Amino acid sequence: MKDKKRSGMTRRVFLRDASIATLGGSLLLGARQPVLGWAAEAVATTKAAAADAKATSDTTAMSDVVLVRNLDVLDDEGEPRAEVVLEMLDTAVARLTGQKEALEGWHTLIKPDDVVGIKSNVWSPIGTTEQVEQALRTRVIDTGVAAEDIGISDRGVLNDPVFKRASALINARPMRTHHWSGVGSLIKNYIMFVTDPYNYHEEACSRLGEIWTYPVVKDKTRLNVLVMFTPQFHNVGPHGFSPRHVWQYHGLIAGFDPVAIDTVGVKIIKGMRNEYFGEERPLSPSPQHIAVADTKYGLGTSDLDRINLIKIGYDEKSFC
Amino acid sequence: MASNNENYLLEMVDSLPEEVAGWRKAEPEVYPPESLYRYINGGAELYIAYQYTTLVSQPYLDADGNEMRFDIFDMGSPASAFGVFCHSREAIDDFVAPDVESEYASGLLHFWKGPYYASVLGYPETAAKKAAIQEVARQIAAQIDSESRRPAVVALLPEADLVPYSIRYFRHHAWINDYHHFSDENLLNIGGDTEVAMAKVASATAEARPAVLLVVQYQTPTAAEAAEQEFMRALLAKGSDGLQQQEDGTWLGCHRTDELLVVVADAPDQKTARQLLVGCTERSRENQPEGPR
Repeated sequence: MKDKKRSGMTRRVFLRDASIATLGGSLLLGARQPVLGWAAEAVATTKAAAADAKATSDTTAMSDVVLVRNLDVLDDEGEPRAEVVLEMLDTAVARLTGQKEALEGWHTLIKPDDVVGIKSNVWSPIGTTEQVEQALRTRVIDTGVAAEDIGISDRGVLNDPVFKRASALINARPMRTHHWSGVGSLIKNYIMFVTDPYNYHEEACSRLGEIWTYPVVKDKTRLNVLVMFTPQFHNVGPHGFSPRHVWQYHGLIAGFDPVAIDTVGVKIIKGMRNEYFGEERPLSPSPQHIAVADTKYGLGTSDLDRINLIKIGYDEKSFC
Repeated sequence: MASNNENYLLEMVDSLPEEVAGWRKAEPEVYPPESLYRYINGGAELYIAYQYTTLVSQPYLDADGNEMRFDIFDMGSPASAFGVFCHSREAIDDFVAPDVESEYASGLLHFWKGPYYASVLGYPETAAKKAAIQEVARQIAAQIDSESRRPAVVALLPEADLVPYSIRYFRHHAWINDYHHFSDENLLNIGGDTEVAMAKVASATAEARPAVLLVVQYQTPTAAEAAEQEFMRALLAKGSDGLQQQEDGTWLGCHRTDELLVVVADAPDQKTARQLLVGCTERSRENQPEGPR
């Protein structure tokens, strides 16, 4: 059961008028060989790979991050097209896992006897989107997992019966600026796995990475998906939503390293801010929880030089 | 038991029209600081940092169940109301009234008057919704008879030379990097009793980017001196005499007088940097600023 709360304003309505801004220039970072052990044996080697990455964090560890962009992902009203979302997700997973077919890739991530929690984000103006949630659910089912062993939740994860017995997690959320943490990130998305989220707010939420070390989530995350269909790059007002600061980016970023994906996401958000404001406009507060997730908690890399960014599809104004 | 602030806000929303252009008033909700997290997903800290006391949220519903909420914060002081308004606005208009600083764009209105900050989102924007927002907002503003006095420390900035709408005012270090990244640490030891006015100063040439100016008002000269020393230790080389050229050619520095610390960044040259630093100090002597109310 999903715990979505829908306000009177639907996503479709909101996106219809969302700003479309473009301008370009992008740089494809030099392709490097991934050394993080997340390919065919991803499930079996999750712990070992993380340990390897940590152990080699100062030398050669690279994190693959796949950015897929497709202008067709949004319809005329700004609503995601389910079939395009699924295609983008498949493209990302196939590339990440090094498999020719996406489903083969999914089989390396999820086993039929897994119990899978899909950690979503229900912020009504810009959420994970039902299309992304269902695309993930479809592919998890395709790996042989029983429907009753799949849960999709955000604020209810601690009480969700599927999440309570989950052996695997998929982390999926959009990126947007945030008054206190700098950005809402993949790292931040696990804050609902603690009963006292307000205790993680000090110092711009820098301690969020600690949550990933707790047994309820530790070593369970098989895939991270940062939804960049319509990221928001500036906040206004108590609820944070500002229609004119929404960018139709048509992107999806996937990977195994949440810190690396967030780092790329922040770079994109910064690019949008600089473009929109016409000057360097730092994120404020700085999203230091992402760097701290790297340096203190060893969850991945926040060093762009150690991120193997793989860009697929539309590449105008990618800001990365 | 309801506080005086809460009662005042409830009386305010009680007197708002029952119906505006097909939008009917529903029951208001009250959120003191301890429960704001329940109402604002992830944004409560901003208002708590600005020391708000009470929020009353007044919904209006249309026949289809769509909702517009007028959120009215009692920020405790005009300074805090001004600060939270400045936090993210890009412009100032007279959408609410000529004497009210507001910003309306794409269905989102926010404004401040006296110690109150208010916000409403009518999205997707329609002409009818915009008119309804304006009518209710004007009635809210009309009921506030407090003066919209800016914090005294803001007057120490060289207003005529500032980039329009660039003034920020805060009492928490989280926003010190809005225009220039100084540090993720609280280098200037900005806390609840320390006021910061920050703005960008327009450059004399089109090529140069604006300088960033901060005026930090401490409670004591000792506190200001400690912050000055920490800033210099962290960001300036020894012997820099409080002003130093950066790798990108711009100038960074600070200057303290009594309990006032002025910081400049991104200044195009040494002379400009020094003028900005000294200018704030001179205005301080002329203005004799008052503390926060």
